[in-house]
Parts: sequence; C-alpha cells; structure tokens
Amino acid sequence: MVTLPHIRGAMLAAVIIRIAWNLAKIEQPFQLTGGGPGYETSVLSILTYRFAYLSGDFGMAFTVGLLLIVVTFVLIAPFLRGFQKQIKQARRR
Amino acid sequence: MAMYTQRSTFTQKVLGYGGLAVVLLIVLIPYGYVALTAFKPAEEIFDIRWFPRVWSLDAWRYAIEFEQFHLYIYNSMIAGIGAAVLALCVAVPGAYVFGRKQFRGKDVMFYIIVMALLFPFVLLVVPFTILWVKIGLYDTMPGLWLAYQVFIIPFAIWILRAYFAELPPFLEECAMVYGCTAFKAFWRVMLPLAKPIITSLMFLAFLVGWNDFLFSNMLTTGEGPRTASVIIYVSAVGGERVEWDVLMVMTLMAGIPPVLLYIVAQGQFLKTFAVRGY
Repeated sequence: MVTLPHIRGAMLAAVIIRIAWNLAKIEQPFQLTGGGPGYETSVLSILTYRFAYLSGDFGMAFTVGLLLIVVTFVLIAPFLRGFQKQIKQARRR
Repeated sequence: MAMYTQRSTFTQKVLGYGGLAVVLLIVLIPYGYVALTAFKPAEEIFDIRWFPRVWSLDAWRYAIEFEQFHLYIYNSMIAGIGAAVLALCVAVPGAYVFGRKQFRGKDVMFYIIVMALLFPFVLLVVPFTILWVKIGLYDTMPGLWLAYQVFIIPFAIWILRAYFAELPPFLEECAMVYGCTAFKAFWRVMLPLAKPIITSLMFLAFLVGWNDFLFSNMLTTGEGPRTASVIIYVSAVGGERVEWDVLMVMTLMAGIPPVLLYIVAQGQFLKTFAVRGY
C-alpha cells in the first residue's frame, strides 16, 4: 500500500516497453523454431521476415508490419493512458 | 532498511530466502548445464548427467582453432564499444537539452523520440539494408554501430533526461557566474555529475551491441564483421548436425565478457541509484 503506488510509474513504463518489445520479438522464436513447423510459430515479426526475405514479397511484409504496429498500439493504449495520468499527478504534486 | 530485517520473524526469513533460492536456481540451472556441457567429450553430450565422466577440452580447442571464435568475440567487442561511444556522443548532449533547456515543441519532440522505442524494429531491417547498401555502410562496422542506435538512443535520452532534470536548478548559472561559458558549464559541471549514470548507460549500450542478433545478422555477410551472436546462430542451424558441446563453449565465451564488465562497473551502478536521493 505504500511502496507499490510509488513505483507505479516505473511499473507502467516497464509493462509498456515489455509489451511492445515482446510483440516485436524475433530473435528467440526465430532461432528456436524459425517460424515452423509450417506457420505454427510464425509470430507477426517472423511473418514479416519470411515475407521479406524468403518470398521477397515486400508489400506483404510491410502490410504485416503495419498490422504489428496497430496491434502494439491497441494493446499498450490502456497502459499508456495510465502512464499519462501518473505523470499529470506527479506534476500537480 | 536495517529495521525491516529486524522486524521480520524467523518464518518470514525462511520464506523469503526460500523464494529467493528458487528464483536463483531457475536462473542458474541452465547456465550450470551450459558450463558443464562445454567440458563434456562429444560422445557424452546426450547422457543425462550433470558432471562429465571425462573432462575434455576438445570443444574449446575446436571452437577456437577451427571456428576461430575468438575473432568473432573481438568483433562483438568492437561493435559494443563503438555502439556505446557513438550513443554517448549523441544521447548525452541531447538528453541535457531535453532535461534542462526550454524551447518550443520540446515535449512533442521528446515523445516522438521515446515513441520510437515502441516501434517494432523488425520493420526497419529491410529499409536499413537497402539504405546501407546504397550509401556503402552495408557489411561494415560503422554501419552496425549506426544501426544499433535505433535501440539505444531513445532509451538513453529517456533515462538521462530524467537524471539531468532532477539535478538542482541554477547549477549552470552558478558555473557561469564563476566565468564558464554555457558549454563549459555543461562540460565541466553537468557531465561530471552525471558520470555514474553515463557509465551505466555505456554498459547498457555496450550490451546492445554485444547481444544484438537482428541487425548483426541482416547487415553483414560471411566475409564482413560478423559478431559472436550471429556465429552461434549459424553454427546452431547450419550444417547437418549440431555440435552441442562447441555451441555451449561459444555461448560461454560470448556470455562471460559482459558479466566481467558488469562486475567491474558495479560500483558505478550503485552510485547511480545513490545520487538519485534529491
């Protein structure tokens, strides 16, 4: 009840960054499975990579990429609002 | 803080340390297995046992003599140091301006920079590759340094700005009363004050350069400056069979330098959080 509200801003920032980075994560799934078998483990970032490098279809690659941006922002929007509120409160103090 | 520990009962202590021990084991067990597998001879790798029957250095010899892995460690080192130095040259003055000066559009510009953190970096790989080939940075070390800044700069500016903003106001004015120019006030007063946090950021930037796989893989070719993380990946997926013992040796070799660096720089990190008091 005392410590947690104090680090709320830091927690929100961590959650926001982690969501964004984990959604766009490519190294680990790519090195572990390469997106396979088939498309089973192709997260959006790997799909982008596969369209761009393996099929050379840059249009599709960037379409998937844009989708990834949209998904990211939709998912972090609530946390971002909380963060903004936090900043405003801190300024008022 | 000492009061806390005195107040907790014996059961609380046991629970606390037990929880910590579980977390520690979860973290340490994979590393322990990596370290021990690195010393197993080739025929023992798939034996499910902790300690090798015969301790062998074959994998180490293979990794260094045949794969020349130490050269790639050197590459990683250059990539990390270059990335850190370049990041500081840009981020420290930038963060200083954002933290202590007033100008129009400051907040908007700052938010744009920080928002860049949320951008999925995979999307940058293709444009970067095309651009880098065009301007001749493809497959070169400066090209890698520059590419890493996409991760490092927003983060560094974000953290440094808060630090500069928290330092007492009017510090520069005092310095200028004593005859410093505005730049000298920044250079001789603000920079030394920010030294601990700059050291921590240098370490983080170095880690980005050292660990990065995405850009190092896409922006270099076999003949160019490949970093250690790429070679680990290549030897894990390339070839008809994976030599796990060699892979473990490489992992260890790539993992140890940052740990050593961390131990050396640790005192500075503690200072970073100590100065934050005011």
